[in-house]
Amino acid sequence: MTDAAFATPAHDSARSFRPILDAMANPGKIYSFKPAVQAPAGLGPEAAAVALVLCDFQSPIWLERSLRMAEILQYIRFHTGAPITNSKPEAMFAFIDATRAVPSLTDFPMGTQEYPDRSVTLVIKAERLTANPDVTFKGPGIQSTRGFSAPHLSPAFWSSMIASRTGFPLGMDVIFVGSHQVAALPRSTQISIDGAV
Amino acid sequence: MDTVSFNRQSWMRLLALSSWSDLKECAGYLALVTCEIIRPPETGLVMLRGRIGGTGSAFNMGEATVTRCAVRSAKSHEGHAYIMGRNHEHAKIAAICDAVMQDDNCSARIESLVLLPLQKILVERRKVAAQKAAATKVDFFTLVRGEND
Repeated sequence: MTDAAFATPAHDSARSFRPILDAMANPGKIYSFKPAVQAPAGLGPEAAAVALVLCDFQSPIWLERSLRMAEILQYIRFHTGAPITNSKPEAMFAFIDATRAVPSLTDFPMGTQEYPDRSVTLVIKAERLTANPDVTFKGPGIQSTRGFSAPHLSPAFWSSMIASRTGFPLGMDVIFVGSHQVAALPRSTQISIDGAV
Repeated sequence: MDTVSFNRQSWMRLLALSSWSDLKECAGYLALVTCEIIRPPETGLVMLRGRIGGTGSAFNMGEATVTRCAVRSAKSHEGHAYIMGRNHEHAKIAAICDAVMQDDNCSARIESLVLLPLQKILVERRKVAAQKAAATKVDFFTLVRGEND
């Protein structure tokens, strides 16, 4: 059973794209995100909208094990046309449900010096995003510093995100989705765990 | 239950090749069938690839405008349609027709009410076109010129 996606694709996808764009421009800032979209239960409307808006046949998608359900696979294939891959190095997008498991980030592509854009964008599904300063962001798009917190994301995850910053402009970008929320963490943002930037 | 002589490929082909005016006349009421729209009719381009002769490699001949639609009937049959052109109504009715044709309780009726008339019209139109074309046929032949005598 394939779910329907956007009822009016042109308008609904533009309305969903805008908060994602704003989130990318203002790292860590949490935007209201209520896409009018039907989605399979495991994926949720926010992550589904990100897939519908950003993915197409040229962007292989990797799904964390708990998301590899027949309904989700069919939904993504039917509505986006994106190939689904089991190999992390091939992934252009990786969908992760942080409430279940966060995989190791080491094998995802970080781009090459010639093509830094050939890197992964992680789409991380969390229950609720808050501005509690579990981690503090600093960099382009942030006036001074900005606190950010998502439950289920361990210090190990943040350490590996910090480690991925060393090869800038290579790196990975992250889109966080919570219930009716979206936030982003582009590779240009510096992260600190203890609040001292 | 009567058996249906069309297979899915052949009825989808017929629905796609029929003109909108013929389809509207034979199947316009199918628009009233309750269906969930999985993919609203949308128009895009597909690249047509061609080959010259049997040995040449394929090349991009040009793009064709195609409209597609997908629906799910009340009995959970998924209907799909791809048609040339930009007629959204056509794609939707063709998709609904595809969905109800998969329902064994309706297929025989739909076949006799929709598909067979459509096929008859299509065959008739092709025949008329072929006759028109045949009337302009020119046979090339060479008269014996007697040069060897």
